[in-house]
This record gives sequence, structure tokens and C-alpha cells, in this order.
Amino acid sequence: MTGRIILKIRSVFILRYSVKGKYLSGFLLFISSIGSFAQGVRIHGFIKDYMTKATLVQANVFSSAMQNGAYTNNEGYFTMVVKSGITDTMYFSYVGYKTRSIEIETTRDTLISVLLFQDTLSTIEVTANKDPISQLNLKQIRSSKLSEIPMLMGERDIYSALNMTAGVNFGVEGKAEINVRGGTNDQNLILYDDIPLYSSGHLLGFISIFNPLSVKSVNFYKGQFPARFGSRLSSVVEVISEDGNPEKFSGGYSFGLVNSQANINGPLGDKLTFSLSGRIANFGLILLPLKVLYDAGTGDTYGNFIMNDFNFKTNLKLDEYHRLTLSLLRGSDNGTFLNKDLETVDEFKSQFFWQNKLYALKYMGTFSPSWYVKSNLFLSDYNNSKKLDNTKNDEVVFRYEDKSDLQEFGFRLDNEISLSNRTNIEIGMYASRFDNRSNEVSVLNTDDGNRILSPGGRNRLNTLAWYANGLFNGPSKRISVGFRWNTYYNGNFSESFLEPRLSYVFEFGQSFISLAYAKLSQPLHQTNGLSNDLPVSSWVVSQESLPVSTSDNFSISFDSKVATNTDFSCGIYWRDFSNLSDFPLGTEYVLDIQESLVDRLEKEGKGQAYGLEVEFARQYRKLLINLSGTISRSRRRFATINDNEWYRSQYQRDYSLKGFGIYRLNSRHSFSSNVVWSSGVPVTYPEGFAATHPDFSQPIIPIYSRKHNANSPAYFRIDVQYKKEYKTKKGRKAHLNVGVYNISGRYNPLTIEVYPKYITEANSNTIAVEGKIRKTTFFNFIPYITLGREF
Amino acid sequence: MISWVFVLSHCTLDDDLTDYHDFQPRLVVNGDLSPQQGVYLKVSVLLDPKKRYVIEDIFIEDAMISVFDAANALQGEVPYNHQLAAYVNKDLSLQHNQVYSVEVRHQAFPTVNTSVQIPRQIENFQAGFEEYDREIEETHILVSYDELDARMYYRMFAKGLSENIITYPKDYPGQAVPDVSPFFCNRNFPLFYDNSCQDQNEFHREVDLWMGRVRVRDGGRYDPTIYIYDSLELVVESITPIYKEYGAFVDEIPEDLDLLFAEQRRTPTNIVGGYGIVAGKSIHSLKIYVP
Repeated sequence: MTGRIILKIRSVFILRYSVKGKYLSGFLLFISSIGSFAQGVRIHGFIKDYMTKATLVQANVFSSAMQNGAYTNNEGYFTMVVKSGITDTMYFSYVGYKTRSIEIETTRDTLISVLLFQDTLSTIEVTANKDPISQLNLKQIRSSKLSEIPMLMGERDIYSALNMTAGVNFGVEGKAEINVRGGTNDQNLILYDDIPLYSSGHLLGFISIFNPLSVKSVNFYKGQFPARFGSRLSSVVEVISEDGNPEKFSGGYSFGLVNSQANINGPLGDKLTFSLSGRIANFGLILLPLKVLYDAGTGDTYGNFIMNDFNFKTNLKLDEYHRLTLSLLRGSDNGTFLNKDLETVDEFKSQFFWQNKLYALKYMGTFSPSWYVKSNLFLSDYNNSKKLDNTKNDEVVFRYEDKSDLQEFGFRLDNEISLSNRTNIEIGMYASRFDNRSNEVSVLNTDDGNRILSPGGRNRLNTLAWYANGLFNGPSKRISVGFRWNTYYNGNFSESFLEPRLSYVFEFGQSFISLAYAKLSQPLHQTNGLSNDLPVSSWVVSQESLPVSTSDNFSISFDSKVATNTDFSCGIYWRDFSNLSDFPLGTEYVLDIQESLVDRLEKEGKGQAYGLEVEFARQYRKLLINLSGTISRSRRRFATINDNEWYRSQYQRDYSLKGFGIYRLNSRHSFSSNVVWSSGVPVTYPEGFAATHPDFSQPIIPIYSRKHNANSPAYFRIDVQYKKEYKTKKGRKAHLNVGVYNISGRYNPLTIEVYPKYITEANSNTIAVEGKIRKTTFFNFIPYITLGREF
Repeated sequence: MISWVFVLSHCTLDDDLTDYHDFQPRLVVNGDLSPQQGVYLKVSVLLDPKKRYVIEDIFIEDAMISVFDAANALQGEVPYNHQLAAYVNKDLSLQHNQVYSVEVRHQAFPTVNTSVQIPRQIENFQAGFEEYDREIEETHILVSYDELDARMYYRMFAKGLSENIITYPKDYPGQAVPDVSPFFCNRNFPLFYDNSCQDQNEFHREVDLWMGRVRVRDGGRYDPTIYIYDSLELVVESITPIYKEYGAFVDEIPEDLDLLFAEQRRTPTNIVGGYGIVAGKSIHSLKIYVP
């Protein structure tokens, strides 16, 4: 009864501040009193790390009296109904932390904050979350645990961890990209604190834009995802950043082979916290002095690649129930290559540049214990350019420039409503406007003042989405029913999609069988005609001539805790794609000013993908083993590619086996290893060679006819790592990682080429020719060492 | 830096081609048809990358080649010319703006054929020097002509002629005078040069030619006193677009690390049942004298 009184008081508060009149006020009143339908009182609040006071995502709450529980959301908030008038023992747990039990007298609705202690003997957790009441197909990875497993050059990166899961194909080795269940990298929705990012790669994509010191955790949804997510076809990578320690200044720094990074966070008064992180590539710093020599005229060439990023987040606690955060992220890459003729003072400068900027103002709060609200006003700005300048006496005489950008300015509102411990509802909306420029090429020749501009390339698109999702948790079954209504429009183009998101979970013992269906749409196409998508590839929004892509996704999965500390899961999926885009083999996609990029795209393509995924994880006393395997097919069909026949999609690996093991000797020393095997990716080989001149004076020409007509060799590698955690003389936590990436020394090609080789016969002057294969890679035995400190 | 050393020192590996899809034997036909030079074709076999070939194994001398007009009436056969190492027939009366088909038969390969349109004749072909100065490295020549067939592409080149040769430099003892420019209307990088010859929407074209001097080995300097042409032969070829596509393809085949940034492109061909390019061409030349 007490709980109801409190709810009414909150409703009055809402009414007083409502601005939209009686309808909005009535709606808010309805929502805020929903929790009162449930019997009992509500225990709600936050679960946090004891040391850093960081909120814990997807932490578990369990009521011994109710015999059920709840999970924290991305802000570490939970709410659940308990019996009133008793002393309930509640358990709070999180992987890697000691479970804590608290006895709570349930006399009224109570807001609590629970602190959990880290368990230093626990290891990384990358297995799927086994309780489907949380989210189906969700996998959670915590940044603090990334350094547990070996990674390329010791760079702990979320993509390296994601690539170890079933159903995920890595593209080019080492790159920060994932291809999920037959999809492509641009079909992944990358969210940073709920804001979409349009390029997640640094250093030509070999590391991600996410500084691990600023990232708290990552939620990864593959295939199907909840209705609150949309506008992508394949997966959601939801990155949640650190808030900042509210009690003391803390932070950390680390030095690796690729870059150096640091973070500082702490309180600014009683209500404000901040977290500031920065990162810079060591490579660029080392080469900077050469620029001085170049400018002084002692050298005629100079090249460098500057990469940096910084993240800033400040968190204002309005009161116990309401918070405001301001997030800023900026990451840029700048490659410059200079060449000058010291006599003629001619200078050639080529430059490629890309940058992500993100600004978000976010409100989070509870208007009642059963209603959690998030709203977000944001701007996500991605741009890239490629420029070639010819200067004479520092004056530009010729300039070629290719610019692309995508800005999304939007607002989203998300409501999480808990009707009871068994019924939760999510309702929300998403509205945004895209301003897009794709490969606008301009050429300036100052000799004749001639300026040429490529046609088209600038477009705008508005999106409006409404969604609702209900999660019903029965004794042996869980049902999630939702939809998302997406509308994409501009002046002369409009498309709407009703996207059902359905799942049914049947539980028996400690096992689940899940069935799921989702329809998804995507109004953006990444115009990637390259075998390797550089982060400088462009986005194009849907328009009259480029329809919105869609996919239908079905999956069935079986998850089971087959023994103590042993998880097993397997599943099959089927996906159908429509209105995909691709470049036909032979399209010129650079240096073309005659035709816009959209006109050069092949459109209205179809796609299919299906596969079987298996995962196994077992925790022994000191050893964790995680294995995953995938058998899959993914193919595409376009009218003008391969004579309208199906061809295998980019980066498709039909078979893959991945595994890692971590052996934690004690709290200071651990050893780990990765083993990865997969079949090859599709490549385009020549049908043969053609000689055009009878004395080989002209080159022999490869005849390419069909896209992806061959397979690259199988991929295999083993990585090993030793990690030492210790305390410095000043008592600060530190770690040392030493490892070797691809210790097996296998030559896994980044590129592969079939070429004609000319051979002079030994006993005559006769020249012969035969085909050879040339493999190029960088990563066939890479030792590394990284050092990190916390303060 | 140890990792970077490993990264930078382990780049490429050449290997035998063991895993390769089924090879389909085909004929490769290359050449052109023009009213000025008749039919000129080379016929070769598609090379299986898994096998080793010498020259004798590649070019075919016993193919049967026939040329038909648009009404499928036989215009003539094209015999093999051992001296030119090609199938040549200069006596066929090929007309501008007409479509011809070529059929190539050989007992060991599937028959191939192609259809070719001869471009229209260009008109008002004129050329002249602009601001000629011996002391300047580059000389501009203005070329103009009218063209009515917007579908075609144009290839231009200039030959330096020296009817009254004065002196050849010691390091350049050739009987033949080098070309001034093999292609001065650059087909592959039109952005870096005047690209009006690539513009299919304009019918009157003016093209600049950069006529470089001969470099001598001593420091790579230009010496205007050593050598000069006394005349130039300018040649304009109106040519079917696929020839330009073929030229661009050859120049832009990505190799090695290029493949990180580019995907292999379809090799242009207009041969049905085989591979290669047979272009329709119209050739026009003009001689101008150096002032």
C-alpha cells in the first residue's frame, strides 16, 4: 500500500511539469502508475563495482522469496517486485565478481545501490548470456577483460574478441570489422553510448576507434535484435563507456607497439563526474621529426600517418533518480605523403583523412520504480577525404579532391517499463536526419581555372521509427513480441517497413530451445567496391534509385548447461536479403567524374545466408576453454554480375573453428592461447591468361570473367600470451603482456594474386610463361609486449 | 619496434598454383578492322595458368577467319601472314559506320565470333603549333576536328619526323626518330590532362600536345641544340569504346598490395565464346612542320 502512495506522489510531480497538456500528462500518469498493478513492493537501484563505482551492465539480481530475478540495464539499473512486509534475502551477482547477499526489509519501495567486489580468480566471460529473459542472442564482453587473450600486436580490441564467436567471420586479418551471419561489415549497427557511429576503424582499420580504457562493456547482438534497435541488417555492437569514479581521481595508461593511451576520471564536486581518455599512434610520433628535415630541404620525401582519438564524458547527478550525461568522441586519421623536386620547387602532396565526431546529451532517470527513461539528443558526424595537390612555390596549381561525409542528427526516447517480474515492456521512438555526400570529386587546374565537379553525390534522408516490445516470462517459457515501424523519406522518396521481432523460448531443466524471427531494414549502403574496405569508403543513403535493403531472419537455437561450469549451445539460422547493392566486377569507383557513385552501383541485389553454429565453454578450476564452430553459406545475386547467377559473398568462410584457453596460475600469472582455423574466402582468379604479342613484348593479360570464382587457401593460426599482474612500489595495479601472434608462422594471405611468370628455359633462349600465385601478408609471426598501469 | 620489423619483413610469398578451378580452353582474338588498313587479327589460345607455355604453343596459324557484313553476306576470308605474324587482309572494302561480324573457327576450340562497327570518318582535322619556343621544354600543339559519332573514343599520337636530320646525340643513336608522345590524349588518367577527347558529349575537340625534348643522359637535362624534329605526323584514331576500356584495364590491373585497395576487374571482351578485343577503327593522319 505504501508503494502506491509513493507512486501517486511522483505522478503529481509529473503533472506539475508536463508541458503538453492533459493528454501527455495522462500518458505519463498511466505509465508511472503501471508498477502499482504488481503485487508487493519494488526494490530498484544500481549495482556497481566497489572500487571504481562504475555501474555494472547485465548484472543479476535474485530474490529468494520470489524465486525469480532481474538484470541491470546498460546504466546498471534494475527493478523488481518483491513480497511486501517480509525480510527478503536478495542475491546480487556478476561474472568476475563475488556474489553478494543482502537482507532487505520489504516494507516499501526502496532505492538501493549495491557494491560488488571483484573476484581476482575469475577469468574472461565471453559466452552467451544463458538467461533468455535478458536478451536473446546477446553476448557481453567487458573491456577490462580483453587483455586476457592474445591479440594482434597486443592491442586489446573489442573486434578481436567478437571475431572469436560463432557466426562471425573476420574479413581482412587483423581489421576492426566483423561479418555476422553472412552479412557485411556495414550491416552492423555500431553504437557508442546509444549513438550510431559510421566508421569504427583506425590505422587503415587495423584497430578500432574504441579506446579500451574508456570502454566499460560491449553488448553484441547477432542476427536478431530487440525492437529498440533498427536501421541495420545483421548485428548490433553496443559500446558502453565509463562514467568516471564519483569518489576519487583514478585512471590508467598503457604503452603498446601500435599506440599509447591514457585515461583519467574522477569527481568534479558532489554531483559531477568525468572521464577523459586519449590515444595516439606511436608510429606517427616517431616519424614527426622527419617532417622538420623535409621542411628544411634536406630530404625530398616525407610520409606519415597520424592517428589520435579522445573521449570525454561527464555525468551530472540531478538527484537520486535523474542523471544527465554529455558524451564527446573524436577520432581522426591523417595519412600524408609529400614529394618535392628541390630544383623546380614542384611539390606533390597526397593525403587521405577520415574523422569521426560524436556529440550526445543524454537524460536517464526513473519517474517511478517501474519506469526507466532514456532520451538522447545526438550528432554523429563522419567524413573522409582523399586529396592530391601539386604546388609550385607553395601555390596550388592542380588539385584533385574526393570528399564523402555522413551526418546524422537525431533524437531518441526509450522507456523501459516493468509491469512485474515476469512482464517487461519497452516503448520508444527514434527520429533523425541524414545529410550525406558520397564521393564528390572535384578537380581544379589553376592553369586554365578549369574546375570539374562530379555529378550527384549529395542527399538527405529523414528517418522516423516507433517501437514496442513486450517480454513475457512464464514458468517454462519466455515470449518476446515486438515491432518496429520504420519510415524513411525525403522530398521524393518514402518507404515504410513494419518489422516484427518475435521470439519464443521453451525452458526445460537447465536448457532452452529458442525460436526467433525478425525483419530488419537498412537505409544506408556502404559503397565498398574494394576487396578490403578501407575506412575511407563512403556511405550512401537510400533514395529513389537506391531502395532500402531488408532482411528476414529466422533462427532456432539450443542452449544448455550440460554440466557444472559447462555450457553448450548450437543453433541454425536462415536469412534472406533484398535490395542489396554491390559493385559489378570491372566498375571504376575512383577517379571518375563522369558518373555519380550511386549510378555506378549495382542495385536491387538478393542475398541468402544460412548456417549452423556451435559453442562450448567449460571452466575448470584454473582453466577456461571456449570453443566455437560454424558451418555456413552466404551468397549474392545481381542482374549484371556473373550473368545473374549466385556468387559467394565477400569474406564468406564456409567452415570455421575457433577456440581460446586461459590458464590462470594464480592471481598474478596467467597464460592464454587462441587457435583459429577457417576455410578460405572468395577470391577472383583469372579464367586464364592471354598473350597479345608473339614475342611477349606486350604484357600477358589475365582474363577475369566471374566474380568470386575461387577460394583462397584455408586460414590457420595459433597465438600465445603470458600476462603478469602486479603492484608497483607505490601500490598501483600494473600488468605486463608478452605474446606472439601467429606463432605457428602460417602464411595467411591478406591479398592473393595469380600472375603470369616469365621463365627463360635453361638450355635455350626460349622464354616460357606459367601461372604462379603470390600471397602477401604482414602477420605471420608477430611478437609483442604491452605495459599498463592504473592509478 | 620488434613487431614492426616482423611486419615489414614478411611481405610476399610466391608459390605454385595448386588449387585452381577447372580450366576451359578458349580462343583469344585481338585486332581491329578499319577502312584504311583492312583487317588485322591475332589468334591465340587461352593459357592455362597451371601449364607452362612457349611462344610456339600460344599463337595459332591455322584458324579459319571470315568477315561478314550486316546482311551476313561474306565479305572475304582473312589468311595468315607469316611475315606479320597475324591474319591480315588489306583488300577488304570496309566502310565507315557499317557493322561487320568476324567468325574464327578452329578444330580444337569452340568457334568464336564478334560484331564490330567501323566508326564514322572525322572531319575538319586541323593541327598547328602554338607558341613554339625551342628553349621551352614543352611545346603545345592545337588539334581540332569535328566528330559526329559521340559513341566512339579517340586515341591520338604523334610521330616526330626528321627529313633533314642534323645530328643525333651520342647516347641516342637510332635510325628511327622516337615518338613525341604515344598517347597525348591520355586514356587512363583523363583528370590529369585535357580530357576533352574523352568527352562523348562534345563534338568539336581541341587537344593540347606536350612535345618533350629528348633527354640526354648527362644529368637528364634537355638540350635543344642536339636534336629537333622538322615535322610531326599527327594521327587520330576514332575507335570503338571497348578498346579504350581494354587499355584502361591493362594499365590498372591491381597487383600485390594494390589488392588491398582494389578488386580485380572484369577483362573487357567483345568476343562471343572466347576472349579478346576486336575493335573498329578509323585512322586519320596529318603532317605539320615545325616553325
